[in-house]
Formats: sequence, C-alpha cells, structure tokens
Amino acid sequence: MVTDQNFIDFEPGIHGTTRSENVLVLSSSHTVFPLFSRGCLVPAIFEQNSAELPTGAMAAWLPTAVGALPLAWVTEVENTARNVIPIALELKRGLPLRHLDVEGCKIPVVSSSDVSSVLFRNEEELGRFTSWSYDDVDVYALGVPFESRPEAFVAQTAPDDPRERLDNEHIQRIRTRVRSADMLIGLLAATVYISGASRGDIETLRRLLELDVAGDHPMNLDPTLYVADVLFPGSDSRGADTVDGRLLIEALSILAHQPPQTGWPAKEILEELRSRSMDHFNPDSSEAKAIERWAEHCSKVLSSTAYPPLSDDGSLVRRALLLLLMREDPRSLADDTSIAQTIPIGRRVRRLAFQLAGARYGLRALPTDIKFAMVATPSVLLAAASSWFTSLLADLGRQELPKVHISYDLGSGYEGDWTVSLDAQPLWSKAIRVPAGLRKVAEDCRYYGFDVEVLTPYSFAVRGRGEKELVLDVEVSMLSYRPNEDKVRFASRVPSTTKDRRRGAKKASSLKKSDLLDLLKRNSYEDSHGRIAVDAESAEIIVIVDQLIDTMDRDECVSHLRNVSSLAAQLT
Amino acid sequence: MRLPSESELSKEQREVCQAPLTGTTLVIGPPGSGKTVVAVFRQKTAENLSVPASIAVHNRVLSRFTGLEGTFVTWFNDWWKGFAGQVKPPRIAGGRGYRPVDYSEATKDVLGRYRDRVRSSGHWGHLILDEAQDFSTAVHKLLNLVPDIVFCDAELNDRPSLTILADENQRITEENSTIDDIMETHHLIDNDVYTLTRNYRNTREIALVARHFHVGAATGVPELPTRRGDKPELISTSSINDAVDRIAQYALLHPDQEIGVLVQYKNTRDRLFAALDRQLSSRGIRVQVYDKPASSASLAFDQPGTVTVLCFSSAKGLEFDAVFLPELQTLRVDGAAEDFAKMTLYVMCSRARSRLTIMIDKSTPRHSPLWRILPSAAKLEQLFDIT
Repeated sequence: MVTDQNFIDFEPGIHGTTRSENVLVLSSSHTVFPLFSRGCLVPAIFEQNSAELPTGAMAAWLPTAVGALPLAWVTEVENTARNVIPIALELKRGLPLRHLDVEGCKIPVVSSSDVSSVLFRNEEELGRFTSWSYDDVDVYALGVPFESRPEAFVAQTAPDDPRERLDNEHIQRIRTRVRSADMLIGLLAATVYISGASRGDIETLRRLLELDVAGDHPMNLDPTLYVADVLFPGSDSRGADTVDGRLLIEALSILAHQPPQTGWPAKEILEELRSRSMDHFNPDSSEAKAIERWAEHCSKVLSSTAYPPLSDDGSLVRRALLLLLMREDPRSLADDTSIAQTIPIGRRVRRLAFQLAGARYGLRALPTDIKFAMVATPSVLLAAASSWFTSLLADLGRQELPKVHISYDLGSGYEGDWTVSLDAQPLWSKAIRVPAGLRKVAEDCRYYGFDVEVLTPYSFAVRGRGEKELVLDVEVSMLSYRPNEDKVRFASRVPSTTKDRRRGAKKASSLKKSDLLDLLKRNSYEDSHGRIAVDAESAEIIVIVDQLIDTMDRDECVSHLRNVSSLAAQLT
Repeated sequence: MRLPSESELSKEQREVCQAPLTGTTLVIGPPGSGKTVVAVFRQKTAENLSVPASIAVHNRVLSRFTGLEGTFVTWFNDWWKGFAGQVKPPRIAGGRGYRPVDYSEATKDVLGRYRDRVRSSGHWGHLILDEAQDFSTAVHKLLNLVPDIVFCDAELNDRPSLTILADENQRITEENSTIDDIMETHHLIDNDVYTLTRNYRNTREIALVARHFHVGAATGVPELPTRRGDKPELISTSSINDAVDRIAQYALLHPDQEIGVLVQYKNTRDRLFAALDRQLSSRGIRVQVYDKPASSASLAFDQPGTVTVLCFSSAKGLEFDAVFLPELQTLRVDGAAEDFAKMTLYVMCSRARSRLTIMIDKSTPRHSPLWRILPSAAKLEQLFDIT
C-alpha cells in the first residue's frame, strides 16, 4: 500500500553544491530527539516508535531548504501535534544533507557532526525546549549552540516536492536496519560501561569498535551471528550447532523484535527462545534435551519456585540469558549492589546479560547515565555513534570508521585509567583499581622475591627466580564469586614450542582430539598439581590452580606458582 | 521517580509534557496513564526554568512517593505562612481536636485583608496538583482566584500557574470534585484540557485484569497499553503463612524491584508485615509498613529491594514493580458494596507495573461473593496463570 507518508526525501540538486547560505533541515520537538540521543537523525517513519510520532508526509522526510525554511512546511509541522515546536537544524557551511544508500533507497540522514546550530522561532520556544529533561536524552549533548532566529522559518516559497515514493516493504526493511544499527551501538555503549579491562573485555570491545568479523561487513552477514560471535567467540556459524551458540543467536534475533517500548513478557520470550532453539536440533539429541532442561529450570525461576545459580562457574550464556529474563532493565543489571544482595551473580554472567540488555535498548533508548558514563564530552560520543550508525546502515564498510586505540595505564601502582580513543581523541575513560585481595597477593609475590607486573585491574604476571624457585610467566587473576570468598587463579599458558615462547600459547584447535583427550586424562593423575584447561576467551591451553585468598600462606602461594609454571612447561 | 524516556513517550504524553507552564492546564487520565510522570516532568521543567514548583498531593503516602515531604495541607500552610506570618488559616468551626482548614473563609481572606500581601509574597510559581479530584471545589476555587484576581494585573506568563491532574474514577473521599466541577471552577476551555487515554503504567496483561473490575465513569475505560508482560498469577494459598512464603521467595529473587503487598484490613496488614519482616529483613530486603500518619516519614519509595505492606486505602496513586494482593477472600463484597469492591480491585490491580499476583485462600467457597466479582472460569484461564 502506498500512502501519503510513503515518500522519501531525495534532493540530488543539493549534493556537492557550494553556497553562501547554510542548509537548514526542518525537524520538530517531537521528532528531533534521536539526534541528541543517538547522534543521527533519520526520517521519523524509520524509527521504532514511529507510531507515536507525527504522521503524514512530514514523517517520511527531512525537509531541507537553503537560508530559510518555507512557512508552509513549518505550518505543516505545527499541525502535526499540540504544542509541537518547529526546529531547524543548521548544517555546517557548505555541507549538503547527507543521503545514504540503504536497501536500494536514498535515505536522508543528519549526523550530529554535521550540525552547526539548532534554531528556534523565538526565545520562548528555545527556553521550553532546553528546559525538558528525559531519562534517555541530554539536550545539551550535541554541544552546538541553540539560537532564536525567526527569519529561518518564514520563506514564502517552497521548493518542489523532491520525494520519491517508498512502498511499505521498503519502509519495514529500512526500519529493521535502523533497529539493527541502533542495537549494535547500544551494545557497544553497554560493553564500555560494564567492562572491567580484562583481556576478554578489551577484546570484545576492540572487535565491536572495529567491526572486525572475518573480513566481512557485519550487516552483510546476519547481524545476530556477528554480535553472538563477538560476545561469545565460537557461537557464529561454526558454533551455531552448540546449545549456547544457538541460544545466543536466537536470543539476539528475538531481542531485535523486542525494543523497550514493547515490554518484556519473559515467559513468552522464554518459550519462543526454547522453541526456536529446539527447532535447530533433532528432538532426541542431547542438545535438544539440554535446551528443554534449561527452559524448564528458567520457567520455574520465573515463577519463583526455583533458585537460580548465576555465578560464573556454569554455562555463561544460559545463566546470562536467565538473568536477562529475570531483569531486562539495564539499570537494574548495572546496579550490582542490589543484584548481589540475595543472589550471588558472577561478573561475566552479569556482563553478558547487561550487554544483551544494552543491545535490546539500543543507543537511543539507553539511559543517559549509562550511555554518557565515562564520556568526557558527550558530543564526541554522538559524533562517533553517528559514524558507526551510518556505516552500519549503509554498507559503508570499515574504512569510514574512526581509528580505535584502547589503552590502559596502571603506572607502577595499583590504580590508573583505561581509555578508548577514536582518531587519537579520547572518548571513554574509566578509572580502574586493583581489588584489595589481588593487591595483597601481588605484594606477597613481590615479597617472596618474584618480579610482578600488573597487567589489568584483575590480573598480574609473575616471573623470576624468587628465593629459589624459577617461575616462568604465571598470570594471577581475580575470581570473585561472593563477598569474603574471593579466589585467585594461578594460570600458566602452555607454550606452542619449547624454543620460541614468543610464538604464543598452544591453541586447542591445533591439537587432535586424541591429544586433547590425553591432556584431559592427566587431570586425574594423583600427582597432578594443576588442572589442564582450555581458556574460554582465548581458546589457549592453560594450567590452572584456584585458591581462596584468605587462607593462602607463603608455601601455598609459591608452590602454586611453581606447579602451574612447571606443568605448563612440561606440556609444551 | 524516574524521568520519562523520550523514546517511550506516546504522542498524547508528549503533547502534555511539552505544553507551556503558563496558565492552568488540566490533565485527565485513568490510573497509570502517566499523570504522575507528567507531574514529575513538569516539576523538573519548571526547575530548569528557575520557576519554583511544587507537587501537592492528597495523602501522606503519596507525598512520600513523589519525593515531597508535604501534602497539600502542608503546602497550603507553608504558602499561607509566607504572606500571613504567624496568623493561622481559618478552620472549620465546631468540635474539639483537629479542625480542617475552611478554604471558603481562607479565600475571602486572600481576596480581602491579605490581598496585597499575597500579591507581594504569595506567588507560588508553578503548582502541580495531583489527584485533584480528591480536593473540594473550595480548594479549586481558591487556587483559581489567586492568579485570576490577586495577580490580575500581571502578564499571563508572570502569574502563578497550575497543572491539575485528575481522574474521576479514583474518587475516594467525600469532599471531592468532578471533572466538570474542576473545569468550571478554573474557567477552563477545551484547549486547556489534555486527556491521556492510554494506560502506561501496567502491562497489557495486567490492564486486562484491571479492566475486568472497572466500573464505568466519566473518564471511561482506559485504552489498553501496548507494553507486554507476563500474565498475572492467581494462586490458591493454604494459609497466610503460605502467602508470606511465596511473597518472600519472590522478593529474594527480585531484589531489584519495589514490591507492594496490599490488603484490605489493618490486622491482616500487620500480620503480613511482621511475618515478612522476620523472613526478609535479615537478608537484605527492606520491609516497611504504613500504619499511622507519622510512619509515612520513614517510607522509602523508588528504592529497589523494598517490600511495602499497605492497606488499600493508603495505596491509591502509588505504583510498584510487583503487586501482591494476598488474603483476598477477606475483601468485603456484599450487595451494596459490590461495585465498591470491584472499583477497589480495579485501583489495586492498577498499582502493578510489571507483575500482579492475586492470592485467595483455597478454602474460600466458590459460591462466596468474592468469586461473583472475579472473572468466569473460562476467562480466568485466559487472564491468569493459575496455581
């Protein structure tokens, strides 16, 4: 069906022209907010909440004029709702309105970095607009001046209507694409917010920022596969046959259709997740039975008749999904004090659940205290978000993206910052501090004569001869399951060769199944002083020992260091 | 209360929120249509414009809920003191003990002997009157005459202004006003009036249950929300202790939520409070009760990990993430009170944002009056998860 609102702005005449007056884009107090909350404005018809925005022709385009906007258009905007305030976005000198090729259509887009000022008809309307406070919008985040400029709204003649018709199918496809792009940037903001600078956190963030997935543009693949792979390596097309991989892929796909406006029917979502995941497997398979058992357990928890184990010592994906089903609000997931009050929740479980909630909300709907947390200048985030958004929307590829640099500097002590910079401009900065328990262990190791290098807030490396034991690189990291029961893990990576340690650790994928099985059997040896495992994040073979911090004495600490180091060396 | 999310506002809410703060604006809406959200939004807007703003509510519990320390009575006394000094507002004559303010006499004083003082130090900025249907027409008359008569020579933008939020369906006191009374008293025309038609607080599933109990009045049946959630639960409990165990288990699994436990009678409230307090307080969940006016000062709202036990009469205007209605068999449902009982359930069910659980003792006979006002068996299956 083609209706009056199925038009799209298409103004090839403006592209690349030079002019002395700036381009003005007409928007309104009902439609302009995505520019402030996501850094990018598209016609209202493509937004998730388009049903609640003004209908009619104005919903489908971003009307543009040079110098002044036609009075007729302004009146049309005024007629769309009570109390609506017409707003003109003045683009930077010489810039035309951008158009992106999306799904074979040219879509007009205003990026926050293109805007030089926001114009109102009078001081009263400007004052009203800037007095509004929302949970998900900061009206000052754009960082451009607001001005009262009556003459920008009173042109007597209107340019010809330059729009082309779009059918409903195109509108729906573009809306889906807008939603996917918003989800990915929401996931990114959530990842930054929740990250603790562990190796896994940094790796996830880097891959998200660089849209790095097997050399393909993520939106050309199934975006859910891309996100699933970033969040949980191995759940992409190769891992889609595992229970966790399948559950994560189906969950992301369901979340795409569950923006916050739709509510959260947890039991219904669980049933859909169960059913879609089961469809992928033979009903008699062990995977199908595992999904059935998990869904049954979740159902009991949602009815408050079972207790949910949510620590990090089980299936990360299944536990994170259960946590998300129990509480979908990112703010509630971010508040670890209230969450951990009655149920111990693992850091990684909470992180994944929060990331999924962030993806579901998308950047636009994420509360400002989450999306602008750790951002020194919100306008820099909005400009970067717009860059990612338009890139994802229009197949621009990663050459259009800003260059990412992630660093953390702990100095020589136990406190510092980690920083994400884009094109050498700091974007996010987060204070970090090594937890007291881990700090004590590090100080003890130093006292015993070893060299200690703090790697991240959650880990440090130990090497050297100590008082008499030679210890090769052992990473000591924090495992915090519950208050007063903090554990540390001593881990040594199995080098890939005896001679050249620089080639890194041995990957599980480099071994035959029979060799892996042999390694597994060694865990049962009576004289084994460490567990042999495959690292969940790097897939490297490691030797580990876990130890409660409170009960560890000198002899235990030194023997753990020696045992994991020597066993890893033996396995080379 | 949390500010609204722009991306989740409906068109009608957006129109009210973006209305200028001048003159008098009347917002009519059913429970959960976001009237309190509008109040909070407009208060914050006024604050950003450096206009003094207050939200005045009818009862003490509501005043705590909106984060204010005072009710309308407190606000009025403070306002009066601002221009009349130590002279108290006139009281209704007769009797000993507490005597309420005589707003008709107060109006005469404001327009007469205190007129100049009100003009110089009685500008209230922007006053937001929540649950305005619960105030008498004398109160409305006074609030109208101050800007219209006392400040008649000031520019419209410089006069004291009002946002009035009302829902005729929720009248609970004898001294109340209809929407027509309010419109007439404040000389409002259609352009000053906004009607919120959509239910915003509840999920669709909860609203469907609430709608079953709705007894029609001027503002009509609210439109169903689009926001989805889990079906409400109807649980047959074996005893009050069984109900307590279930509520406690839910609270422990959802320490991120505000939970309301609403009952009709004080003795049920006190028993539930004592039992829940025993089970939960030592495990990090705050359990609180509203048992007398003085205790409202210690009530905490908008805080996760809180269970609030209240009588129906104190719960109006509040909202919780999860609401439990235990011991419902104690609800009085006899001939004349049937509509009142349905209306009570309508209002109480509407307190729940995401989760609603109704609990009835399993020994309650099916022919009891309570079951007469509950949905039929087939509809019960549709509306509830039954345990």
